[in-house]
Amino acid sequence: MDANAISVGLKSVGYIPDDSLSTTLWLSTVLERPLLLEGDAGVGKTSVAAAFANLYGRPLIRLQCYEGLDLQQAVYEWNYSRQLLEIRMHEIGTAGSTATFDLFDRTFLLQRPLLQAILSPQPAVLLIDEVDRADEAFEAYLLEVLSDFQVSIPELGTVTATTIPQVILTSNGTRDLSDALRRRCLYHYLDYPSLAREMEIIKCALPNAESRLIESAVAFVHKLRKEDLNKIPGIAETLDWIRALHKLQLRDLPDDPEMILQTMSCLLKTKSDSWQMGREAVAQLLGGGRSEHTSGVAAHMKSA
Amino acid sequence: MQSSSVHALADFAAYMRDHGYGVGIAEQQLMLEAMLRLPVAQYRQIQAAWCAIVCGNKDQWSRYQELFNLFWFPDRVRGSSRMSGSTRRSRSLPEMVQAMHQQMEDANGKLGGAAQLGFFDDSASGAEEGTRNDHASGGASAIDPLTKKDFGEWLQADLQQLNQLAEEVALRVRKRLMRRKHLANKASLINLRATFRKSLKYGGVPIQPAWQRPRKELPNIFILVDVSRSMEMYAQLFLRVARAFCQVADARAFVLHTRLAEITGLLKKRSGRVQEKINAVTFGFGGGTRIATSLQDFIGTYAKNALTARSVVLIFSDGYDTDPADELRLAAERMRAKGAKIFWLHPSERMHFSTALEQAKNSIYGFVPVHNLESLQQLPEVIH
Repeated sequence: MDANAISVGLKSVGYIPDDSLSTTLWLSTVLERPLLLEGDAGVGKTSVAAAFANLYGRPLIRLQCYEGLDLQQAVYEWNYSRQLLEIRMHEIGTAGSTATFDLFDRTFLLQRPLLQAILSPQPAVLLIDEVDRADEAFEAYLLEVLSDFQVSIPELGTVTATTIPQVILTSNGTRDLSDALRRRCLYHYLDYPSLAREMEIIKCALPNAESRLIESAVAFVHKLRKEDLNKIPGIAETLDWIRALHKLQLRDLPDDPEMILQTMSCLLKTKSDSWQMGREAVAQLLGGGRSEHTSGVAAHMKSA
Repeated sequence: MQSSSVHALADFAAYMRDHGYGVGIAEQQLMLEAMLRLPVAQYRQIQAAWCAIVCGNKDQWSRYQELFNLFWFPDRVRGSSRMSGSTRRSRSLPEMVQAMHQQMEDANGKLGGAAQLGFFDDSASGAEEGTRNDHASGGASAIDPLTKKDFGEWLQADLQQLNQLAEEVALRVRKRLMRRKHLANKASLINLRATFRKSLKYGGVPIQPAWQRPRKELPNIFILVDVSRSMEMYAQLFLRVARAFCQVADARAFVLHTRLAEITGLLKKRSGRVQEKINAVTFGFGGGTRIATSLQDFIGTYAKNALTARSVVLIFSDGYDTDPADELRLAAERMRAKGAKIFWLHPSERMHFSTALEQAKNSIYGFVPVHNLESLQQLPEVIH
């Protein structure tokens, strides 16, 4: 499968990638390299993994990172209660016998996402989500998994991968990741989509919404992103907003700023942003360049 | 694969290294592999594939396209210019010089690490760190002079380096100051949950207790940058340092001149417009200095409930104040009474004490010169 086929395939499962993302995903597959996706919240980093798993029919194994995440939650844990039960049963069943049994056998091993991914009989898609939220110690542990696809368990030894998973790491850039981790991964920065691509995404997600509503709303969001906001609305926010407008049975973006302000909570997520985008600011975004912008969009779509 | 294209790839890798990209042997192997798997006619895909291999962060990602075009299609790039940085600007003279160096290396039998790959028939990479250091020996380094260059002499083009260093400094301060318990005078607390979990393997008997690790907390860093006329030359640089502290160490930043204004929110944003606003803030005032009044305002309004024993206040100023001399002492004493450590960071190598500062210096924890990169690098140690 080449990059174009991946692009077409992802579109068929509802994810609209740009060319460079398709190429990077292709490269990540052929080189069996983890892929680090960075970008602002809501630009579709996590969805890439879900769509990729969907495309190839692979199981998606997700590890959500957070501060304090340790090996017991990420890699493996011994099933102590089962071990205790086994000891009791062994004592009852083999009273007087000198037979031994292994307490640290794989049957007592609870597999957590990383181990699940490398021991999966079918190649899995391993999503390590928001890796920047995990501690640096955990990041260091990931190096072994990402470079050699193996896990060291002191009681068992080194467990190597049965199948090589497609690893996708996402980061919001809340802290800098180590160079060692970056060098083990291919890198792709997911930026906010272009106007045409975002329209395509929304049309794909909301096929029943009016085309005119989508075009004008997406154009509005693009103008909004140019404002000096604390939290720039991502694709997820655009989708939520247009879904809300669609539920309100609107066929086009209303000219009244008040009506837009009532639904802007889908787009603006901080107090200062809400305060900044008052009636006048919304009116300014709606007016002036709006029709010109929309005609530009229409022209762009036609040419595409 | 033709030797010339391998040479070209190695040159490109060296070119990218010159621009701060971490392109080593492993990356070159990957680039070759990607190139071999894709037809050259589809160079756009090669461009994207290489981008995924050589880039490591957003900054590199955003510069890649331009550098790629500059290297491979210099004719298409019109009117491009750089103020400083790499000596390898195009594929003309620098490439020839590079080729000469490689020939010299071959003649001396010094093969670069790339030769070990088997892909390269000679030291085409020419950019192994050790080899490059050999070339540089006896010549001037491109980086060292900046470390001792006074901030007042800095050009716009040098600021990128300051940004990187400021972020490193902020990270180091964070690591060093985060530990709340330097000396624990009582035993650690038992972590009950973890102890129960651990005791499972001993049949429920808590043989191996788990202890709570000492919490590490970030110090409250406050940065006050004097943007008055006397500091005009340095204010922009110090604001960049403040910006790094805000982004990395969650500091709060203020500017002071005849009054005080908080700019934390502005500095935390990673957008292209921030620089414009910083410029507006910095150059918009350019008036007198009322440090004492600004500090009183800081204590009474902005940091009223925030100044504690964990607070570190960094004041970037030359100390020239138009307020009455004892006002600064009173303000410094108020801050000290709340337990905050005040550090006065001055832009000259030797501090010139004004009358006001002379009176207040007993309440100030330390005077630190930050007149060049070298002194800025030592900031974490001094503050610690």
